[in-house]
Amino acid sequence: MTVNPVAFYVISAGVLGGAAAVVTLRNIVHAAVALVACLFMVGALYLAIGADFLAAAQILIYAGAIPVLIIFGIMLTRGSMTPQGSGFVRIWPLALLVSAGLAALLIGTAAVSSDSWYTAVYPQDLLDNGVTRTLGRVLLTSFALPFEVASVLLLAALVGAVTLARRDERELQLEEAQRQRREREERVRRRREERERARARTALVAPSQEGEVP
Amino acid sequence: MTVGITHMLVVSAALFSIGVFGLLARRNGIAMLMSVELMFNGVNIALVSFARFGYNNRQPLSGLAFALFVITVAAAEVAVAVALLLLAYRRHSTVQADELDELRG
Repeated sequence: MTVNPVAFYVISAGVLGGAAAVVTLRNIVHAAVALVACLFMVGALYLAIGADFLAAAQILIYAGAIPVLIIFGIMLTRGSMTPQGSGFVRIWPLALLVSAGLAALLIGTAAVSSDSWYTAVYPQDLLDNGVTRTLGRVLLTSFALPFEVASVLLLAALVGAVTLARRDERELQLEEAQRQRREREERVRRRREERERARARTALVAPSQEGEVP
Repeated sequence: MTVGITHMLVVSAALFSIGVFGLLARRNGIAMLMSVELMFNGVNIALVSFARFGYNNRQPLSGLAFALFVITVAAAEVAVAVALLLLAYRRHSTVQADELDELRG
């Protein structure tokens, strides 16, 4: 099975265009939508080179679950939604230089190195067994320990995220104290305004009384 | 010209570099997180194409298994990172990376 060149070029253009939109769009919500498109196209790329299970996992997790989490993050941090300034650091040309240098290095290495070692295609017995079935067998034999450790990692991340995002007792007290201080200041301000209004009223009345008694 | 591993590695390198640019240049913490996701995907494309084009009978499809583990770790990373950004927002009312400079000397 060979890779269809037209599909490859169209999908790659989608991946890189989406990625460029993610890093350049000022509005963070638009960037998140571009991220979904880009990750979806990466899934299509996996499909084009014959990694079916990875394509399904990519679209389920990367194009589905992770953007939902990121959009939750955007919605819960209201300040991040309105773009401030250009959205880039002042020395962004330096960042561009660094990443362009990195790209030149990596692409140069890939282009120069011989790819004759990597012309192997899937052998017939793998295709007969099914790529996904073989992957499942590999995951539960050679990679059994990492597989189990990954589940522990996910549990730890879940617990860690909940612990971090929870309001603890001290924070709640702090917020309560802030609220009470704000209310007190509001009360003081309202009383002062009332006093000044009353004084203004008497000042307005007094001259007219003086004027009536010539 | 048939599409070989070189083509895939070029796409992978370009995606990774775009992610590096976003991570260095964006100020918004959530935009930086999205750039990290792009970098993860660049690496994953390289792993999957090694598994596809460098098939090896002794250790079949290791690249695909690696890519799956990368996806798992990325999911855990996003969960923790979003929780951290939420915490930073509650404490400092901002997620702009250059305004979170409490440790500055």
